[in-house]
Amino acid sequence: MTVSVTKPPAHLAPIAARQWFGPLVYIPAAWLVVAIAATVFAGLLPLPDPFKQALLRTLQPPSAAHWLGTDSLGRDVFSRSIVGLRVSLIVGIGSVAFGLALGGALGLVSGYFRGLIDLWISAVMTVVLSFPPLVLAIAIMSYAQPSLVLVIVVLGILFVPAFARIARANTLSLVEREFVLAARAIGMRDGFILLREILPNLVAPLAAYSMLMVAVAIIGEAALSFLGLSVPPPQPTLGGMIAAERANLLDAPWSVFGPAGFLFLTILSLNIVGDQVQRRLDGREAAI
Amino acid sequence: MLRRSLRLGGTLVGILFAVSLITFLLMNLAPGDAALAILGETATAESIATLRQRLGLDVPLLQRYLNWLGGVLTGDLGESFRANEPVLDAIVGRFPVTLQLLLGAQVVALALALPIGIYTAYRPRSLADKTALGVALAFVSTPPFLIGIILIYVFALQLGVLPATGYVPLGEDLVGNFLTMVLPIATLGLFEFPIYMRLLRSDMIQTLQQNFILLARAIGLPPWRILITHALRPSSLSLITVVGINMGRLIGGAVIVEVLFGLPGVGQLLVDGIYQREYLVVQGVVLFVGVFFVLINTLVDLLYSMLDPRVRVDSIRH
Amino acid sequence: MEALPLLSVRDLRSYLRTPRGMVRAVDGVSFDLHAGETLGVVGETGCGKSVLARSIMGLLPDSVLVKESGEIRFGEYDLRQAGERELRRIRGREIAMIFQDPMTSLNPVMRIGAQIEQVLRLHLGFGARQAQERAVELLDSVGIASARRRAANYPHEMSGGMRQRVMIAIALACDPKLLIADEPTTALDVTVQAQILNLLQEQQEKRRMALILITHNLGVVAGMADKVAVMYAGRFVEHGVTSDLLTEPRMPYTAALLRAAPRLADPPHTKLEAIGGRPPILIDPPAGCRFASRCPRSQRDCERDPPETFHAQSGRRYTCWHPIGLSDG
Repeated sequence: MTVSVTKPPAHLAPIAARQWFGPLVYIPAAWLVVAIAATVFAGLLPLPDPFKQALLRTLQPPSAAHWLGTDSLGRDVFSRSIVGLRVSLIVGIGSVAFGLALGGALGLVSGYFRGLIDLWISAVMTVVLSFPPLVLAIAIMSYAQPSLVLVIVVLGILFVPAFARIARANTLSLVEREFVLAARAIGMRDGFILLREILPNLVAPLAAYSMLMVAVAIIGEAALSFLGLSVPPPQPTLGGMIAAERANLLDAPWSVFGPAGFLFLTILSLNIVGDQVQRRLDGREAAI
Repeated sequence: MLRRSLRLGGTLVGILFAVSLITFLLMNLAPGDAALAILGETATAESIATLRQRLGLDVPLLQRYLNWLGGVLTGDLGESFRANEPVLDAIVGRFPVTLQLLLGAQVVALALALPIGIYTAYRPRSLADKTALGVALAFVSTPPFLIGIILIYVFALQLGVLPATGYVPLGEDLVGNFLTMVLPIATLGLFEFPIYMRLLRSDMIQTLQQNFILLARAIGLPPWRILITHALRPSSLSLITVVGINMGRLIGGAVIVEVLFGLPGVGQLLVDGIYQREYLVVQGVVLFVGVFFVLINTLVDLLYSMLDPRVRVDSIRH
Repeated sequence: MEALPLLSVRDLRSYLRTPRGMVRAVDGVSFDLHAGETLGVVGETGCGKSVLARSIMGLLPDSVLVKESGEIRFGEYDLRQAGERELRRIRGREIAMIFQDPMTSLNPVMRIGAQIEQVLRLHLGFGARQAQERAVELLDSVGIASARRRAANYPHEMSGGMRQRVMIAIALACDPKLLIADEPTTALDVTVQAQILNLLQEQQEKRRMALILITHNLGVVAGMADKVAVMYAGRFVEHGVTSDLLTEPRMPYTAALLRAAPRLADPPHTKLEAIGGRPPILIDPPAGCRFASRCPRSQRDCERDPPETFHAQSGRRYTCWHPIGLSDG
């Protein structure tokens, strides 16, 4: 399926070459790598204990001992932010993975078998989409026992319809293509065809979209934790930290803008890198 | 035409029905006992039983659903047991605040997105375009409560020109209402405008490459006339759809903004209901919001088919 | 003896920016056009004829146009030097253009009556009612039946031939002195093609309008053009009175085009004489004659030196070292 392209002679070199990603992408990509590494290895880093309160040293401005100062209970903002970011990343990646797996599977099945299965799955998707997303998440989180897994599942469910739609659309167009007909003609069983022929072709369109959805999921988790509906304390969450320190905004802005900064930089980086990946895989002019 | 309307109506009813069912199931399939959760572990068995009966929890699930549904259809969403206020009244009383927030945010978002989107489509890859896209990216990467906090920090705390929280009803004092609503509406609007701007921009860039735009230039029309009269209309169709669908995101954002700015809207009611374990309130609000959202989407569909003559003609033929 | 030409183009060059490099789409075109005269511009796809048309009108966007040089005089205007505002006054009013595909060239969400009215109101300052009436008249004059009712139609409610008539009505609304028709019949059925061409001819005679007819179809120019210019790789390689040029072509490319066209009189299964090879990519054109690699008559000097343009007494011009009928070999 790949066509080899010979490089044109030098005098025909294009004026505007966009071979690989622009230089723009390396900084956010670097941030993501550093952030993920920091959250994974947080325990090993020489940072103050994020849970240790020091009631004599509350709301201290940033210093050598506390890079982002302390919060209203004297806890180190920097290390709490890193731990909070860990939650955000786990929820972000986990919920998208969940949505991708479930939604992708449903879309695949829907597009391949069509008929009644397609009708039912589409109907369920429509109903899920009938709710404003955050409201649905809030409602579910409101009465159930909050936990990391529940947050991941709830946000993941919100992604299912979108992934299902992409998977279904791509499956529908792939099914018409000859290599599927050929596979059927030599007697391949449906399950086999789904796995070996169709699934690999879905990877590209889904992958790019996924990255951007991780950013959305992180925003969603931040909103939930801001309302106190995400993973419960004492686990620090970025949204929770912002909500808790909101009252001290004027006196100790670092206690709010510290976690906010981590949140913003991570989401921004995901958006930039995700968009570049989408352009690369898509080839069309993206929305950005 | 009649058949199509009937079919649309039928689908609508079906969806609304499903919304009510899902809402009910969500609220009532929770593990653990609601009455116990409300009263705490120190409550006596008797008081728990009384509360259960009062909340209607002692009846089988299906009957509970039908009771509730029957109530819904007659306008009775139950009562908040703390405030002794009918849930529906509470919702309806607070809805205008939320509505003002939602509509205001849409207006702000469109007011920003339209001129910027049109101009950047006209001059893509210019400095203005790159700046606009960068700004859009920054806003899209900032959760709404963070935008709100930054605005509060700048305008309320540092500059002191606007209040950080509080609400003055529209009927009471126009200026007061304006002052208390500016930051919330701006927050939500700024969060939404990048989406509209990027969509409009990419649609218009595509439209501007069409042949009929070349003809418009060939007959000597000035650029602004071409942009607004010729390019905007075909490009705006998907924008309108997205504005409608976006109401869903906006409602979620409104909840956050209301909590952040202390606005007595439906979102605040929902969150308060959650904190106070007023399950009937939560159920009622979720249902209300769900129905509202479905109706908006249906309206958008109708609007779309009215605006695109190609779609209109086809539907008449059917 | 001859009156001053209406349009005078001298050494027009338009170089365009493409993802693969700079393309010399129009690379030195010169010609004169008089009022009421029809010039047919014939060439293969990609020879630059459409870019030529857009260059004359100044319609190439800045983002694409890398370099433009040469002179375009239209009446008292210098089209290359004129500012954008002046060009907008001229477009649609003095010079009009119609395009190949009427389906995509008309605004799909605007009624066709309104599309005609906007030209009238813009250039002639017509009021709403006045413009409406005149639009109906124009639709009628281009042969659209039930013009008043049709004015309320959208483009997708009409057939291809009718849409092309609408485009002609828009173009003629302000009585332009020059009409550029870029492949007006290519997208139409054969039967409709003849109707549209007749319409063009009829309107042209009525209004004493100059016409540049761009096409890849020799048959089209045969019946309609006073003069024909054959375009190849961004240049006019032959230019002269139609009947002479078609019967006695000098440039081998012209001859090859004539031979390649199927004829009714040919017996069945006659093999068409295609011209081998492909036109050069104009990013880095060959040094010598650009047709040399495909030319049956090419010789050493053809590939080495770019041929000059020779002027014959009859007004014929050709760009070839070894033209047919004049030199042997």
